[in-house]
Amino acid sequence: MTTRIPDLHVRGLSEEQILAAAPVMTCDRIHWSEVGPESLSPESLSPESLSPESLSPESLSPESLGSTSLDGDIAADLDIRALMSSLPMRSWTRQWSDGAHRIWVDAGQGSAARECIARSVLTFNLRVDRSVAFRDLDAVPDGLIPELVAEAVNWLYPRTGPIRRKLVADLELIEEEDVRSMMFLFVSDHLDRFDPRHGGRLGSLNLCAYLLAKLKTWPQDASRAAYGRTAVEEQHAVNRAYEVFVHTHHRVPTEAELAEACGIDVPDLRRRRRNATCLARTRFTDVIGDEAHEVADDVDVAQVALRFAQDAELTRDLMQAAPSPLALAATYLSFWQEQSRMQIADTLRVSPKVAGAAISRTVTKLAGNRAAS
Amino acid sequence: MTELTSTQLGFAAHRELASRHVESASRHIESASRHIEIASRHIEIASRHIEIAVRLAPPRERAKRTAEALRPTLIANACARLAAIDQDGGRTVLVVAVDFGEASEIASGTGQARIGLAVLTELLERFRDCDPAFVAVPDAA
Repeated sequence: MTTRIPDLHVRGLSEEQILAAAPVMTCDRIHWSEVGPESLSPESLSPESLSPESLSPESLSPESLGSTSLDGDIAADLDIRALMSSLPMRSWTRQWSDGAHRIWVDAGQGSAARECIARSVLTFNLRVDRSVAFRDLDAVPDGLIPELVAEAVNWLYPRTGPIRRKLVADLELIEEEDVRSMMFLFVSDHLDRFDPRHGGRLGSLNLCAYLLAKLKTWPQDASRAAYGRTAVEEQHAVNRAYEVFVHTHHRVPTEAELAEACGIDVPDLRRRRRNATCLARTRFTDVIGDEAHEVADDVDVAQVALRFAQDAELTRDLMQAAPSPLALAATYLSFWQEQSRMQIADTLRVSPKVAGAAISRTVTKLAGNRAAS
Repeated sequence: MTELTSTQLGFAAHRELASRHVESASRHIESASRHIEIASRHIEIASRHIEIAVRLAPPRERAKRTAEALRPTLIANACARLAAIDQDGGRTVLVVAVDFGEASEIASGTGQARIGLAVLTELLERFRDCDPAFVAVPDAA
């Protein structure tokens, strides 16, 4: 039996009624930063910057978002409303928690708006995302949006335990008590992108279903935002090279071998490893929301690969060392089925002396082969 | 000569029918005991056969491909069976048990022992990238 995810209600109004004031439009989104990549440092996600006081529904109103502690520096540097008034086309803005500037214009006008913005202000990483869904949430009256966000968080928070635990485990500076505030920001950031027309086969999407789907990749997205895409992907490449080496050579690579496998030099590898110390427990490719996978996250992949490789090597060596099917069967029964010499003799219908001799010969030859190689 | 009454005739018919049923039942019992004897002989033969199990451990993302590659081997060799599927440290574990024949075949290296050895060698070679390794034969339960 499937349980439908409920529609949210605020002050007797359904989410559909509230969001009807801000219908979905198809827009081009222009976004940029003025403060450089350091604005994406782990400090920007520190608990201090995410205190509950700074994240009350009131503080998330469109008017107050322009001056929250998260983007105080940016707001001081740029009057985005003035910039929008200088654009020759219709435009909207809304602040997301990452602190970057965003302006939405009608679909097809992104490039023109980008040119205007580039001429008017000094930008960093100016990009255009074309044909994205956008709701002008400023058009929703009476502070209903912050209350809707709060309502969504109230519903989502108790249902996202694995995601919350993953987030706390992956990001060094995040504590369990910060997650509710972060979820508030996450929901607020995604609200203007909610498009119920993109329904699944079970029908149209409601807000909580949409947010649940988005929350599944939240820890990975937060890792990338906190540590930077480059650092994450560099570390991913090193991990992959390490795994391939262990799988191929059945041993842990030296620093020089690993650097060679990655196509970099040793100092570069060391730099990557220094960067990775703060990523220690982050897994970049895991699916979130599945308990079974989360258990697997705790497993040391390299150690597991080594164990399997050693077992396989022993098996190959034994196959080569066993002089006869009888010797192979006797050794197998002895070491893998843990039978005694008497039991082996009984199973193979030979005397215990013959069984013992077969095993001894095999083991001696195996040891000799291994010593020789 | 005494003429039999209708009641006596009825009893006689019933007795005959009953004796025919007894005869049929004893035939069935005899047949069943023969079947039991054959089955116990099969069980005895099976218990005398020795199996050697090989574990293939592809990474999770390659598990389906490995299982598909394994299928023809299992179809072609009746002596090999998929004995267990499990997960271990991000790997999917497929355990294939290979019938190695009975004691006389193993001692002489002929018959099923020879076939089993060939299948084992094939598994170890064909699935080299799945770290094939001996493991204990999983319990039937």
